[in-house]
Amino acid sequence: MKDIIINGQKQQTGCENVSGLLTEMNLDAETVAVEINGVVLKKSSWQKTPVNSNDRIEIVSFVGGG
Amino acid sequence: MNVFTAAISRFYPDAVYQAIRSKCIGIAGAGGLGSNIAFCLVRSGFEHFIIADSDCVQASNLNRQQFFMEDIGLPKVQALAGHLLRINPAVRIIRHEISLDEKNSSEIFGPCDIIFEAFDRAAAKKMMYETFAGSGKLCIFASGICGLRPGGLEIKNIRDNIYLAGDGKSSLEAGMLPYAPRVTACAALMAGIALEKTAEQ
Repeated sequence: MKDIIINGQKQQTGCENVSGLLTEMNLDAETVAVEINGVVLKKSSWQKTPVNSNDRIEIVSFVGGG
Repeated sequence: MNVFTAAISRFYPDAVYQAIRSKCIGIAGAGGLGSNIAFCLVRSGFEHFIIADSDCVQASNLNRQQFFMEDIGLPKVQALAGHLLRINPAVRIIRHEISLDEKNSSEIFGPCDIIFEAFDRAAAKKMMYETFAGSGKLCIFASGICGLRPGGLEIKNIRDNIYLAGDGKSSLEAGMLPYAPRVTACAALMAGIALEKTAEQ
């Protein structure tokens, strides 16, 4: 298991990449944005972006209404 | 100077007012959030805007958006520009009656110093985040503005100059609807971030 920080909270994951992490967290890929270590990732790169120990991950979830 | 700019100039030190007047503001969406953000910013002295929205004004928009009966059927960007000019005739508004996507939003809002995400659909909000959160510009997003509850809105500074306003939960997906008090309050928070950050520079 890898120690990572998601939205400021320490967590552990065995996921290989960002896509796997979002699936593990049961998040809707169509409505979340992801940053790793301050870099914004486009959805098209989630599959190929590895999750490494000590990564600082920000997941921004959006809900509808405006 | 017109009477509005002469009056508003007394609210700020000269350097701050000049900074406010010089900023180019991008607003993606001219509905509940976007129209109220624009009103707040024009009243605060901002003069340069790029506003994009593909919709026309409908009667159901009048519950929270800065439009009037006579606007129904007009493109929102056109109606909104007209209202903003009535507050300050010196404002310059580049209007885009267009549905925004990743490619055209980069081009349209490229010249902007400050960008507001003011869409209603969550997927469009995400698209704006992925397009602009790494741009170095001051970017202000919203999520969770539905329902009747007056409190609970927050401003989260995600990092650097990236901000997210709202409660993160109250949503169309949860079966809630947007009403004037909460939408306007969130729009005001978003506009306030831009004003404060501009004044600090």
